[in-house]
Amino acid sequence: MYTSVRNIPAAAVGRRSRRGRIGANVFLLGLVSLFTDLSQEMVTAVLPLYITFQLGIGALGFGLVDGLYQGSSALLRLIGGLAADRGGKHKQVAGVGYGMSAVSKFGLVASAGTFAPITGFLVLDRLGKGVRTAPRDAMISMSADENVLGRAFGIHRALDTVGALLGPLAAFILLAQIPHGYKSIFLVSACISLIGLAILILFVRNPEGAEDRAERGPRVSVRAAAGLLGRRDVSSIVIAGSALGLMTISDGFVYLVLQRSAGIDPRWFPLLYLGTAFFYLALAMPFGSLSDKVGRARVFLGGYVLLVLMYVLLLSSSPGTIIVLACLGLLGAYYAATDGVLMALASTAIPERLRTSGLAIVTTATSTTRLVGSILFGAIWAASGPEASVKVFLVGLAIALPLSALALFRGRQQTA
Amino acid sequence: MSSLRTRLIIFTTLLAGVAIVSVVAVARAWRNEPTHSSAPAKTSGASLAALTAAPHLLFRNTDNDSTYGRLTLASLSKPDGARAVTPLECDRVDFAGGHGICLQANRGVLTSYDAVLFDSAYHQIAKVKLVGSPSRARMRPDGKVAAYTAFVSGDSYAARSFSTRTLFLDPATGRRLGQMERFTIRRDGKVFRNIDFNFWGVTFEHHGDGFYATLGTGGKAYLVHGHLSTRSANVVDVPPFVECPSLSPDGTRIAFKKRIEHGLSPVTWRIAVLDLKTKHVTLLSEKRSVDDQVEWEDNEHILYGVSEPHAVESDVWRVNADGSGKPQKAMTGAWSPSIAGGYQLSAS
Repeated sequence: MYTSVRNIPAAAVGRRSRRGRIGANVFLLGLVSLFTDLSQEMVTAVLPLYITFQLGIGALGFGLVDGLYQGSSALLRLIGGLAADRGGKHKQVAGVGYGMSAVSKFGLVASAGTFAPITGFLVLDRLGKGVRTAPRDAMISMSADENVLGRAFGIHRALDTVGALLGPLAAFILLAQIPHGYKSIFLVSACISLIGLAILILFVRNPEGAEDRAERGPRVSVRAAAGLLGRRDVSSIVIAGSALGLMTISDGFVYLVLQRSAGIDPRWFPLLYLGTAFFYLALAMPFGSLSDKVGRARVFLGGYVLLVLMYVLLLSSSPGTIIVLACLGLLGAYYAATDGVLMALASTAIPERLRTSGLAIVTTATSTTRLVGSILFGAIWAASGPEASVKVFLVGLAIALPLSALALFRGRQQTA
Repeated sequence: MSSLRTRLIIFTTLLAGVAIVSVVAVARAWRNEPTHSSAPAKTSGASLAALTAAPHLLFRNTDNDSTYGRLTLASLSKPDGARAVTPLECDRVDFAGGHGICLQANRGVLTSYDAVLFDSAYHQIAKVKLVGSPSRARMRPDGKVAAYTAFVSGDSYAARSFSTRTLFLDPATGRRLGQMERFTIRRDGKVFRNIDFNFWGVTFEHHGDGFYATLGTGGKAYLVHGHLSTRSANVVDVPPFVECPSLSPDGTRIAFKKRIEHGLSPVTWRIAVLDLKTKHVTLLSEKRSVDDQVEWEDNEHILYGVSEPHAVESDVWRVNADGSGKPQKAMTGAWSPSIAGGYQLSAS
């Protein structure tokens, strides 16, 4: 009975003893993310064109929108984490987040081209993303056995990336056929987001025992969540993730550097993004499984070694197709080795009772330092050019990497 | 939670609903798309020869019919009258001295952009690939130089800010004559350089090789006055944010889009006129936001395109250049107007 309650896919049952259990929730949440990302990326792909050409607002105005929603999700992520842990209602909290994004898509359709509501709906979407990420990752972590967590996150991230790949493709194909059809693209996007939300509501289950734990155990307080940082194993992950995040060049900038040095026609720009997503998709599961075998910290740090290699390639003076492809491959591999693996790594350190809050703390820390890194990279670029910027980040990452390794391995030994 | 069967039924119903709504929405947008239209031209046809014999206008046709997007001509004395449609498709167009520049988009899964240089028979002479999406196009009145501005990174995956490239072309061959970004810029006599320099919106003087353009740097926009022969320009000592300049036929004033800040809400643009001698700026009576490089119809009137959000069609409006009067619609279903055959200075 145990197995049927937990919705174990038939294939996983037989090999349970050796490979560990990955619950149906993981696949279902992967599908939720696939449809949500597909919907989101359709909008993201055409939005700048829409705002600058259809509404004639100008690219400067678009910068404002982009900046606004960068900062808005960090706080909500922490609040969402705490709320999910308190009631043990991860699914419901995630549902609010997915719901906010779906509403924002319908809002875009209805806002009839005026700027203020568009800005509002974009912010709502970001806030929704902030709310849902940590409860979703917590559900994944509680729906798979600990020895296959890396693989479980890999499966989820691979499905997620399928959506991110198909979204721009769908949008550009539609836009090629109907150049003025922005509103219909928004409507299709809104419909697709409903599919994701419906899968969550109808088929995803709250992890077993989560509600019981929340009711029986001591009330999850801000102090208890903050107390996680007092634990060496958790704080070492936060410190390592933040330090490495600070020295990570955002992919937008990577593509810009490549475009300049390799002289890529700007219209191929979306292909750079799709290339990276392709490698990420292909490697997310293998790297996740690898992290289950050889250790998640090792694979996580290995991802940053790949990133160092990519920085070195970025510095080549006139890269040809092979180097550009290698850069995209390394970037995709870096994502595959770090994004889900970090969540798997953190999940083993954070007790289930505080899982969502803990994961929210980790992602808030890493995404905040990443944003700071992005600003830093842009500032150095403006002052001394792209090459200087890449060099600074190369040196920075080369320093941060061994220090992070030290922190991660020592943090683990102390608690083990 | 209800049984799996019930949930599957709910889910399947939703999928079907979503599919129907999506297909209907896309099909409707497809039908409304003017490039798929086979409807006959709304405006009665005139012969090219008859129109080009007298002062006339060239513009992008935005009537939602089979003429959509085409370079079209109308009489300057009756701009909303009979039209002659050429085979060229243009997003932006300008024409002077027997030569024209037409910026066009080749829409596809990956859209590319070209500058087509054409002669007085509206035949393509040369085609030049644009580095990004088209923004502004201008011909020098003698027809010997074309200038255009393109956005370099209008893509979502590009930088958060935009950058532009402004180039000068020989309209007879398509050869590149100069790139604004490589010119020497001076302010108060001293060389002025910054890595974030962007240039846009060239407007030519009516005699000689002088021009005006906008220089954007450090969050500000400056009017510059330059010469193609010396590959240099000076920052003009006028208030900042004189953007997308357009020089009046008599060369004494510059019409431009004036930036209006609204706190957190996005910037809007008002058409204004700068007197080059007194440096006095007059806001024109058009209250709608106009993000365009406007065209002088004569020394007293300005033409500009207005399009509602989501609308396929657009109209060209006329407003007095001295701030008086009310804006009036000059042409229905038109965009990017260009006065051809030179200004009739004596007649006005």
